[in-house]
Amino acid sequence: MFQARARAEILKEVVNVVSTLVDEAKFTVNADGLTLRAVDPAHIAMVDLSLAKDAFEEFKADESEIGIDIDKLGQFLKLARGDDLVDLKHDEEKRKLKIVVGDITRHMSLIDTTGMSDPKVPNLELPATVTVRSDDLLQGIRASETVSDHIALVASPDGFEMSCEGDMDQVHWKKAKKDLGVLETPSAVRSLFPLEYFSNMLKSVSSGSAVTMHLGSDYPVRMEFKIASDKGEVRYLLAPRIESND
Amino acid sequence: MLVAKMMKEWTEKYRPKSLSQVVGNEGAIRAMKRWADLWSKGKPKKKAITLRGVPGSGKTSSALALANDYGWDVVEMNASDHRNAASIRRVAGAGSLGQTFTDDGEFLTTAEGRRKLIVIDEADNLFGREDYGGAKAIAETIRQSNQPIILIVNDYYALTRKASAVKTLADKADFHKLGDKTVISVLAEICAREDMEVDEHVLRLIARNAAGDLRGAINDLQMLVEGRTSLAEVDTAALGKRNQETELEAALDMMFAAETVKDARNATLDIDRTPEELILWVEENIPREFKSPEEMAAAFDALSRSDIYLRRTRMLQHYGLWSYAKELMTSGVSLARTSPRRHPPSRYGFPSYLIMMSRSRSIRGSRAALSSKLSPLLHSSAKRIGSSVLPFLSTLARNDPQLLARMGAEADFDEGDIAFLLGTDPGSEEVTNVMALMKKIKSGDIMPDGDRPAKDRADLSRSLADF
Repeated sequence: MFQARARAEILKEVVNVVSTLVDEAKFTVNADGLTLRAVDPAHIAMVDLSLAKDAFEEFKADESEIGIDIDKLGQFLKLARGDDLVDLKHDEEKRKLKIVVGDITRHMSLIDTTGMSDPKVPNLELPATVTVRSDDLLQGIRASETVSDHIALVASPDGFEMSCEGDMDQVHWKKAKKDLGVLETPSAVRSLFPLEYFSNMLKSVSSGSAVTMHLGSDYPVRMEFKIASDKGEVRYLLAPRIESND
Repeated sequence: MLVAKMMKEWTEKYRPKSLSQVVGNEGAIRAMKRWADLWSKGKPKKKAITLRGVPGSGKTSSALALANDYGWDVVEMNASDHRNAASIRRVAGAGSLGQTFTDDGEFLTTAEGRRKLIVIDEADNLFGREDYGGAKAIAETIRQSNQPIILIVNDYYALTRKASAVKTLADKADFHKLGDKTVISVLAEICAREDMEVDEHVLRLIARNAAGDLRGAINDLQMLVEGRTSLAEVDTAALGKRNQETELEAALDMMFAAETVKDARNATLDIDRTPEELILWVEENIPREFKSPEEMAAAFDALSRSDIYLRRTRMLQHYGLWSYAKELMTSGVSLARTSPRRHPPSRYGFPSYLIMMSRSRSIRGSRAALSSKLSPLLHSSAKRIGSSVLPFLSTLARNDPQLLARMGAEADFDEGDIAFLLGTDPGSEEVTNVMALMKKIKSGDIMPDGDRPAKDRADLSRSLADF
């Protein structure tokens, strides 16, 4: 059983976060709230999202799984303004999700969740931690987008740097330690990532929030940030690009 | 993407977990292992391997088993997924550059030899008619990849025609039709594991019917025994013919073995083929059937007389003549035999005429399209252009890309037309260059009769007008 009411902007945030990586997703609901974990089709990124029941205006649920076509949900939510209230109800028998926005009711067919994967979040040793405002990061990304399709994230004891080297041009974005919320790293670490993924992930962070990144050398990055006015959490994992010849 | 199965399919349930469990095709398996072993020493020169072969010969199973043996993750692009250039770049392209998170959320790194195998199933069958980009995207993905890639094809030519680079970028492993014995042994094994008593002759029947398609045979077995615990007799009609050719082959066999004119004629009575088609089969197989030159000559003589009637039928539109044609190609041919039939061929061949026609279908298609495009411009029939103008145009085009671009701008050529004239692939570099040149000519950057920019010519004409 699942029945909830939420402000549209919160659901839109969730859709933004998830649609970055997958078209279809399995949400798990229980009495405490809603969670989702998924790996993207190219197997290079993962999302782990949780939304506490306080993020909703009303929330009632037993443990169950709901398979949703994310694009479809996103399209429908476009009909709602940010502070509109959206009602959700899971019809287990007909395998549909009933969504009400104002005067509109949509019965949305759900996706069968048997056979959909259930990834665990891997336990990775990532020695460096850095916290940056999302708007700052986005500026660095924007500067890089025309230069190359991959970006290096470098954390060292004195600062954090994003650098992008194309065939012709190079772009460096750098912040010294004093300008960063948190910067902890025993030594310098560097990993290279696909720019498009990194940028799409950042674009789902709401403006003005802080993003915490955990990094290693030639190792994945774990990005953590809050959604739904701190009542939800997102962790993105992105695998590094293979640089060496092995 | 994932559809609920009411009941687990045996083809999935009994899919081999390791290459050592894959039946038959030892040569192909060895080639795959050799290729995979290269990856343990770093990126090999050929980062992809193409598995070629008929349906149900074990290509997909071998690819998945290989990944399992080597501890690699699998990213599979199935025929059921929507596949075009964009999705190949997004999934195979992006996935092949980076390290891996598995579906279970495990992180794999190539530093520890944990790779991601990208499997593109039915790679010969990806792209819509118009979309040359899909094959190109595959070639590009292989070129840039940091991870192993397996392409699976039924028709290698259909893929390499669109992306000839694949020929040099990818290794090859050939899968052959499985023998009936192999198929029977697998079916028997499944029956044992399902606790099912199925008579050996039923298995033999299923195997023969499947004609070397193991997946087909397993599906047939499951359909027949579902919900039972034993099976001694089987209604073969329920199976349907997996392979219509086997029926035809049986008829040919009866015809060639016939001792009387009547037997030879009756052998092909139930075959659902026109005499026009049947004659191709007989023609193809006369050399397999008759070994002595005299017999062969007599057989072809009968066949040629039959062919005369086929032509008369077409000319006069009098289908009554078909019966004479048919008589001559069956009874007439079988009468050629003078010595007893000692060595019937183990397998009859598919008409090579049909194979050649189907191989050249796209070329003939492009020729027809190009001819009818030129027809109104040259005030000549498409047929005549096809036979006597195109060869010259093609020679001109090969020697002078500029000229080709100018013609193209005039007659509105597309990639297919240009590739036909140049004798290359629509995706090749030459074609792209000419297309670019054509675009420039059309937009007026270059005047059709020279490299001079339009602006200069305008100046020139103005100065002439000043006089």
